[in-house]
Amino acid sequence: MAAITAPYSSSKFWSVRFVSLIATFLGLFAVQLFIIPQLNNYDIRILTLGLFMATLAVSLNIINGITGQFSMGHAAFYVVGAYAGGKLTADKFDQVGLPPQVWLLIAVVFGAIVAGIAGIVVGLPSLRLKGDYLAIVTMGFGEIVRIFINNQDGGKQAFFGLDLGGSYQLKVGEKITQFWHVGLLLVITIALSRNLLKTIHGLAFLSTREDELAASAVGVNTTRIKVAAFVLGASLAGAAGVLFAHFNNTVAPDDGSMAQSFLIVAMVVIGGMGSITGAAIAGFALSIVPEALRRFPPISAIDLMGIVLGTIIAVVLANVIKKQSFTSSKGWSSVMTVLGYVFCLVLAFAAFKNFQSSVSPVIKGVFILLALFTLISLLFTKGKASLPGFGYFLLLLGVVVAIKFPISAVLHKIPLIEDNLSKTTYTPSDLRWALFAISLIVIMIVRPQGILGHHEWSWSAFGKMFGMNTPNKEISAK
Amino acid sequence: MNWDLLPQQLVIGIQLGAVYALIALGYTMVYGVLRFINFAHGDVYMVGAYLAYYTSMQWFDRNSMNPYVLLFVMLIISMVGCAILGLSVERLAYRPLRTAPKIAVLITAIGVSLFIEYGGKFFFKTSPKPSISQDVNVFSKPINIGGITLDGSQLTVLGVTLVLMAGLWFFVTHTKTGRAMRAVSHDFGAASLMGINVNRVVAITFGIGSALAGAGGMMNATAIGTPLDPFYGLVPGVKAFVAAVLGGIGNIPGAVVGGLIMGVMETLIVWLGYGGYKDAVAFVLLIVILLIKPSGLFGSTVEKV
Amino acid sequence: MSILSLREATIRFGGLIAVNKVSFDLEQGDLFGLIGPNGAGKTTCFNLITGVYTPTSGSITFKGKPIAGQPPHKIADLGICRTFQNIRLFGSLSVLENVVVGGFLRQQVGLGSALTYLPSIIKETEKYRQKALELLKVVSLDDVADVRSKDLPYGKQRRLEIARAMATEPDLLLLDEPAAGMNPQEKVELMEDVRHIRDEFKMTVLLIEHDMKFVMGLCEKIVVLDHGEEIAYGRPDHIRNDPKVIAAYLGEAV
Repeated sequence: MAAITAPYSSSKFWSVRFVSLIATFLGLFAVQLFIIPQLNNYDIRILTLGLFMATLAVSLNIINGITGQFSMGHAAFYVVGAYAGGKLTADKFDQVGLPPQVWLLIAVVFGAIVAGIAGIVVGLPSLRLKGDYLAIVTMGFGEIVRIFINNQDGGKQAFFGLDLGGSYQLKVGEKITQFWHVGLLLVITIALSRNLLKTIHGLAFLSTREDELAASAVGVNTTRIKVAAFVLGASLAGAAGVLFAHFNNTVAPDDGSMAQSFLIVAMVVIGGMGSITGAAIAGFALSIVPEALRRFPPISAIDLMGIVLGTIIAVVLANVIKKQSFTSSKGWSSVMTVLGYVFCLVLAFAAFKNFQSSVSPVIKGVFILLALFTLISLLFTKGKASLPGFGYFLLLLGVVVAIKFPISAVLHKIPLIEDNLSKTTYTPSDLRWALFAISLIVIMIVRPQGILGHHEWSWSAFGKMFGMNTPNKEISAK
Repeated sequence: MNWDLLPQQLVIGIQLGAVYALIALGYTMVYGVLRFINFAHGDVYMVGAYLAYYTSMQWFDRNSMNPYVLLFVMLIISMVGCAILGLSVERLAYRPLRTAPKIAVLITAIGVSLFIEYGGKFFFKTSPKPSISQDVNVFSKPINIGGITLDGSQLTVLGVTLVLMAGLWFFVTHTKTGRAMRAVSHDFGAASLMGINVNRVVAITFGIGSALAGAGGMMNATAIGTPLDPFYGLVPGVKAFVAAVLGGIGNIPGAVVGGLIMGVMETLIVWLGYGGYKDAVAFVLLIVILLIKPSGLFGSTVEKV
Repeated sequence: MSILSLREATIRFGGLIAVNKVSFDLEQGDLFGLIGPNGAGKTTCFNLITGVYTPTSGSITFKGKPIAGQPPHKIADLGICRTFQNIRLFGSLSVLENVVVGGFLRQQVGLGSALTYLPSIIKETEKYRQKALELLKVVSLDDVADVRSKDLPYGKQRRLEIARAMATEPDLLLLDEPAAGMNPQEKVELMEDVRHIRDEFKMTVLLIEHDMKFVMGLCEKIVVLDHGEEIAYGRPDHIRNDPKVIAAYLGEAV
């Protein structure tokens, strides 16, 4: 925030920017050179895909969150970029003979432009449509793109005999994209959104979201703003698509499916509409967590039923006996605080145990430092206030576990269930989409504005969490 | 392009359109009452198709049963099952969000849709179920009217659709609940002030809409015979929504006409030799309609500043 | 030369003629009132002038140029800005931010500079932030500048709308029922503020108001609409005694 309110000094401004630019590159290179080689291919792939999804979520946030145009076909821009860049490489890379990284830059720019044009095509109907209707038209656009690509196999139904591999896939042939490329794109996407919001232009975008008629009455050309938002969001998604094409080596029409678009929308909404931080975190987490579930051992059907029933009973109990009666009343709150400490320690221990086994020493170190930092701030500063809440949560978990065992035991006694289900097991990753769906519904019911609401990450807010007090606002009176 | 095939294609298109119309009715009724797109509606239709499948293949003995009775039982089970599903979804997921921002409701609907799909994957398993149209074909003899052959499946679909729509029309125009429904769709707030139990009306709307989708699913499974899989409601669902928009969303006859237009357009595209693009027709049509006449063919909207 | 003139401006919605052949002229610096019973077409008149609707027939000229049918943001750019009868603030933005938005159409720096956060946009944003702070002082909202605008009390929201409209640096300010929902004390303050705005910022003001005391006390010229038609036009004392106006208001003390 300081940039606007502090007296502006040109020399300091440029030196700060220069240093942060260098620091960004150094950081990304450091990760690429020192951390990535420590990981196995699977982990690299998962982390990179997480960055892709975060980029998509942040770029969609420009359209959905900042400008308020509910677009549900974002994966289409991604796939348009991927096909444009991928096709260019497949056809021309060998003939031109540029160094791969330079070529990648050209392909990214090309893909971003093509996706940007697609953004104009979709942005134009948005001038007349609002809300649900716009959602369904953008969704329709996504499907049209997918079906169009499906038919471009160089055959009879293809336009101009275009061959994009049809419903099978397009082979790019060059795996150029590295982890730091995607990281850089994510940083750029976040930086562009942040910059926009710090200026008067950003306010014009926000006013279009808040009230279109009032915005146009005070002279904001909402048409231009909406198209600009679509072009910006689409070209960033397109750039991500090009990187994906050169990361995955192949692109398929289903990379831009409706389900993929829904997932990106869900990330933005869960993170909090308009919150860049929320979109980035939700994008990364929602693509990592389902993969993490794969590491859990399979669970038997009867245990699963026990857990589900236990959860239902715990939720009903939590509704009957309100949280406040535990966390606020004097006697209970100290018990809850103690339980909260236990919860934090158990969590820290579990995290430590888990990382001991699989991940490289460097990452382990980073995680342990982070965990220690969080733990210390939780136990010794203002974070303490949330301890009774954690304790209450632990209590509920205890209820679930306590109920689960007798229920499972009873279920084992019922012959019909024992005969049919005792040998059936499920891996948590089989259930991950159903779990995702349930958490989506629950989050929307409990917190419709998304987890972060309109809030943003900032050092001052971070400081506030740990008891420091600093102002936080780009455009404020002071 | 074979002109002799055109009349027959039109019949197939109308048959398909009737199924779209049944799904579109649910969309249009829910939108009329709550002003939101129930994205999970297509998945309710999928469940209806599966219920019909299990009824004919596992729960009843299709060989010894009178086929007409079997058909009727399938229809009832699909409709009742889907109505129960629709009611529970409304009660558990949508009612807590009655005052929440629209986007939260939309996302919840997507969540419900994913949940039904992946829950379906869990219960019904992923492998596509074969079509059951051969097993349940009630009219063995095709009827020929002026060069157009109507087979049993087409007669079933058209007949059942007509009966259901007549019933719906009677319900909406001639019963007290139907009038309450229209009142709620006209003005949600005023209706509740006038002593209408809005929650009950919304529940009934969901129940009826879902039952109609169930009937559509059952008929697609038996008569048209698309192989089933847990994601099979997604695309027809979206197309039916487009049909509802086409006819003017919130407008019941409009949804029927929109569904029929959609079905016919789709078969015509196949007939023209561009079958690969048949799923895109719906969306192109949607974009064109929304740009030319956003209120749909039969809708009317007044905007006040 | 008159700054705004309507000549037989007419709009129909289907069979309904909402505004029928309304003509009047505003001179530079006027404090002009537009009154009439409910449903007389006053707000529709505003919507015609600000480009929300295009007149079915007739003409509207602003500073000698025809403006009928231009999009709202163009009209704002030419120098007409309005407030809304049913307050339309940018609810989740702060009070200050609401006013800064008003400066957007006057700022000169492109979107590219904003995305890359160049010094030019920083200076420009700061310039309009300062301007907005001054305007907030004019409507005495400077003490709540960082409050989210939807958390303001009703009367302050109305004043914020005026500040936001003034931030577009208009020559003609349209106020749609600025005193609605205010108590007598607030109304007196508002009258002072409106006069001050006219004199200090050299703006012409056209306002719709139901409170006769407010209009008669403030406006120098008044036009009266009833059922979309213009029934009287003149100075307040003239309007007060016009039999048509008295009939339209069903004998209320005008």
